[in-house]
Amino acid sequence: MIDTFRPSSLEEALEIRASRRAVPFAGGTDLMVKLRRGAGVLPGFEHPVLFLDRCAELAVLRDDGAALEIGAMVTLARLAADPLVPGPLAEVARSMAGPGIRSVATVGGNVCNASPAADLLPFLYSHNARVRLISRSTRRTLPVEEFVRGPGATEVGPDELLAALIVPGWSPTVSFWRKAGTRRANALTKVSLFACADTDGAVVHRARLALGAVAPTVVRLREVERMLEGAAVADLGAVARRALDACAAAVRPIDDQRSTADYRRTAACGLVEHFIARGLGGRRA
Amino acid sequence: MTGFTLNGVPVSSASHPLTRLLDVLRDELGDFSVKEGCGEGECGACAVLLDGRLVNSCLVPLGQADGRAVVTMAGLRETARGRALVEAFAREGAVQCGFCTPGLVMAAEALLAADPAPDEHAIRVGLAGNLCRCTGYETIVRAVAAVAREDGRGEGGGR
Repeated sequence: MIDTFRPSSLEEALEIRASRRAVPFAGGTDLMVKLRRGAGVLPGFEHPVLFLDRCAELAVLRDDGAALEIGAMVTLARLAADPLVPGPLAEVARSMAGPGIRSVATVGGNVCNASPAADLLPFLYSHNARVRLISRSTRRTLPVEEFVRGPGATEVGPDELLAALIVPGWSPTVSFWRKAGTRRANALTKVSLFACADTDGAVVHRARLALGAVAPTVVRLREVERMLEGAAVADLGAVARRALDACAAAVRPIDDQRSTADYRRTAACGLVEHFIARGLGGRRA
Repeated sequence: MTGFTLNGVPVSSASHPLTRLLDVLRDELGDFSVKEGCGEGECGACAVLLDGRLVNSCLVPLGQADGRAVVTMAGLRETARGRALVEAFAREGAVQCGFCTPGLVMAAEALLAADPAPDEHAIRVGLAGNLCRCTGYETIVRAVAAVAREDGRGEGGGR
C-alpha cells in the first residue's frame, strides 16, 4: 500500500519529503489524470504521496513593493480573483481549464508539471520570474527558465519543495495573451503567446515575448525582443517581417494528439505578428 | 479512517486515502446523484462542492476530503436554491438524457453562491467545465438565468 501524508506545517512536509522521498501532491489535477486507472481502481501512484493542501505557509500571496510572491499552493481561482495579482496574470489564470479545476489546481503544480503547454509559464518567463526552492536545510532561488529543464523535468531536488514564485514588479504598458485550443474552456493549449512591452506610442522601449507549446520548453523570443526594443512604432511593419523569420527559426514544434508542427509554427508566427500589429500599433507589413 | 460531512451528515470511510472521492461517494456511501463521465476532469459530471468550492470528484483523493464538507446534488436538491434550479431546468427543457445535469446544477450553485446576479457571459463561464451532449446549452443557460432573476427578486429587486 502506498503511504500518504497530509502535514499541517511546511516544516513537517519538508521532513516527510526528505525522509520518505514522497511525491508532492498539490491540486492533483495533472497527477490524478496521468495516473488514473478507471472507476473503482486506485490511481497508480508508485511512491509515498505528500498532500500539501494543509501547509498554510505555501499559500501566501503578498506584494512587498519590489516583487509579487505567489505561494506554490495558491490556486488558479485565487490567482484569477485576488486584487494583488496583476491584470494580465489574472487573465492567464482565467483562461485555464474550467471552474472546477481552477478551484484546486495550483501555481506550483502548473510550474512543476513543466509541460511545454503550461499556461502560466509564458507569463512567468516574460517577467523573469524566479522560483524559491526549500529543503530542511537549504533555500535557493533560480530563474523559472533555468528551473524547467524539459517536458515534465525540473531542477527540484529529491528533498526540496517549490515554495513560491517570485514575480518582479513591472507593469508593462502593453500586455497580450492568446492561447489557441480546440475550445475556450477546458482545452489544453496547442500554441500560446504571452507578450508585453513598454511603449510611449512612438518608440518601443522594452519588449518580452514567450511562446508556449512550440518546443520542449517555453521559448523566449530574445532575438525578436532585440529587434523591437528601440524600434520606432512607425517602422514596426518592416521590423515585423524580420521578426517573423526569427520566430520561425526559434521554434521547434512537434506533431502530437493536440496539433501539428506545421500549425504550431504558423500560428506562433501569426500571434507574434498580431502582437506587433495590434498590441504595439505597428501597421501591417 | 477518513471523516467528512456529506450533505451535512457525518460519514467516514476506511478506504485508501488515494481512492477517488467519486468512488467513495457512489460505491461506499450510495450517493448515485454523482455521475462519472470522463474520469479525467474534462466533463464535470462528477462535480460536487468541497467546502463550498466546485471540484471534480474524480480528481479529488479521499484523503483531501478529511475534515471537510461535501455537498452533492442529493443534498442540494433539499435546499431552496437547489429546488429552484431543479424546477428551472425542468421548465426550460434543460434536461434530455440527464447524465450531465447534477454536475451542471452543482456548477450553477457554485456560480450563484459567488455571484447571485450573473449575466449570460458569467453564466457561460461558470458552466464552462461541464459538457452536455444533448441540449446545445441554450436551455441550460436560460434555466440558470431564470433562477438568478428569481433570486434577485427574492432579495428585493436584483441588481
